[in-house]
Amino acid sequence: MIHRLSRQQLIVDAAIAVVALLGRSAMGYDSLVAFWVVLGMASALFMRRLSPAIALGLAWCTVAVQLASLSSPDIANAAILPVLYATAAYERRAVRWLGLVSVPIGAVIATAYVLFRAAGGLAGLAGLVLQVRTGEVFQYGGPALIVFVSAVALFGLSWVLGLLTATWRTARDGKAALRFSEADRAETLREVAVEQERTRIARDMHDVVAHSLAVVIAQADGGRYARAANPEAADEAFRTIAKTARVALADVRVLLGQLRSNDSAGPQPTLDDLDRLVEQLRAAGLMIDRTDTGSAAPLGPGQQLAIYRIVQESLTNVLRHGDAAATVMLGFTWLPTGVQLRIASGLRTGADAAASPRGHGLDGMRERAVLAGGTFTAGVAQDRFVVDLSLPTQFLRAAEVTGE
Amino acid sequence: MSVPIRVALVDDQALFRAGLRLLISSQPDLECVGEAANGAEGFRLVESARPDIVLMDIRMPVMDGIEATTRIVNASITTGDVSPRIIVLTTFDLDEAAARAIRGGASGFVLKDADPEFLLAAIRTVHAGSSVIAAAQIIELFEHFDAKRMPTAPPVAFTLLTPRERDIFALAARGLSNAEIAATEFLSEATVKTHISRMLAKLELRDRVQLVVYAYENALIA
Repeated sequence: MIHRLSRQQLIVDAAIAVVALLGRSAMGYDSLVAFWVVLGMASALFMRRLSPAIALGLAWCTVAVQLASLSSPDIANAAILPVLYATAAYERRAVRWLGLVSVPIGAVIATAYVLFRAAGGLAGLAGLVLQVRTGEVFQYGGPALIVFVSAVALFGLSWVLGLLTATWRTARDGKAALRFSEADRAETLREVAVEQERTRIARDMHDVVAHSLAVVIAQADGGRYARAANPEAADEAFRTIAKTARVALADVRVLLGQLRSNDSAGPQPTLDDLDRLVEQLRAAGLMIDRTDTGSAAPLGPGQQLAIYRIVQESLTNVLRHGDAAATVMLGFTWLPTGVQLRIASGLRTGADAAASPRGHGLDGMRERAVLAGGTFTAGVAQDRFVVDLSLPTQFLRAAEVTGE
Repeated sequence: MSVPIRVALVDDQALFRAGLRLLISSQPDLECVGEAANGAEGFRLVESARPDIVLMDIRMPVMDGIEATTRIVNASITTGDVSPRIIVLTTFDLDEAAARAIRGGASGFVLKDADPEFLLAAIRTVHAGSSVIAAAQIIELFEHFDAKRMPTAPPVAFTLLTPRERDIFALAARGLSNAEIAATEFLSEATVKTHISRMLAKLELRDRVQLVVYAYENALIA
């Protein structure tokens, strides 16, 4: 019923009401009732934002007093316009509809009262009744219609303006909420990306350290037990232990390097860093054929990160599990609706390829793609391992528009 | 020496299997009868090589160790053949997958970094069926991954056990070997063995590990 207003809003509303009251007072009052009418309307004016419902009630009560005392219409009655505006602009449904209903009722009363006074008030009432009987009253039809239409237009316009204001405000709030949720989503995306990174490193760490150490332990134990009967087997075990440990140490170095670069809290990689990544992997001996079709559209940081990581993971997978001797196709297709990325690499022949534990990496890539609003597929197609990523740019555009 | 215990290795790391093979082959009473790189290969290996013991890794491509364990056990139930005893190899001491493998029919689990003496003893113990390896750890596993079990009325089958059998049940459920139970209860080992097999039959349990699981699930052990 009562709205919370800022101190500034209260002061402004009070000042407007006081100025209106003083301004009207300067014109003088022809009766005590007139003063009360002006005071009532001024109060309604003051209350219009604080409580449009009470303001509307006040205005109606004042009009009722006016009618009962047969006072003449006052300039102060104009305050009904901002009150109607307020019922539509600041109130909930019920009061808003009361405001709308007030429009025709007010117009009818205003018209009737104007006619009544034109006919000479109470004194002319007997004459008016006679005129109604003889049909002479229809001479007032024209002016009455004009008064009625003007009143409806004036009251209705105020109310509609208020409704427009309310609609505009709702839209503005909606945009702000949308902007907020977009920012929130981007933040979540970043956090998830960081968490995924950590999980990936932990998993790699486990794969490298736990697997290698299990081999080292098994070989050392086996070598020790086999030594008496089979010295050559013990020799072979030592060689295997050394080789396994070296490979593991090299892998641990890579992982520690990644951890260190993550700890530096530097910016997450973007599409611009992709060239450097591709160069690095070319230096590692991978042949990469990169193609770009269409004109590149701007992507959000989360989407750029998703692309970077998926390319990184896919190319590293080729080195680890695929045929590193075959050229890797890295193709970007830019469409008006989004970007499509395809990475096609050679398969390693033999059982080793089937046994490669690549399931986890693919799951991680799929999660990234989905979080960035896209789709992800991976699988073998015609002797190639094909990774397909599709990211839309539409919802980003929408976010940019609302961000303005 | 009598007929050697036939051991099969199922693990996706060839070098790890090679180490285990060296260890097992060094023992006169053990024989390595085959290797497999995943659960599906392991299942076929069991059919063709008929091992007594399978050392089974959990995380493997194609088919993991839990599913392979369940299939091997179920297949033996269907055909009526003697199922090989399966020992699960785990990397972590509190591995939920190990708990699931034991529910699926594995006879015990051994950490991948266990001492070779422990692994060899585990193979012999499980083959003999005279006690459960790492019973306390198995119970710890269940306690760690299962919701706390409320003591309920013991199952009907359990109430049919004689008081003596219940005493032996309690000791076996804590992982005691036949010899240890015999010493505690002033019985001969042969008598204990008879009691245990009769109990397993009454409770419709496959082996002693299942007895531990049964005792845990029905809140028959503290």
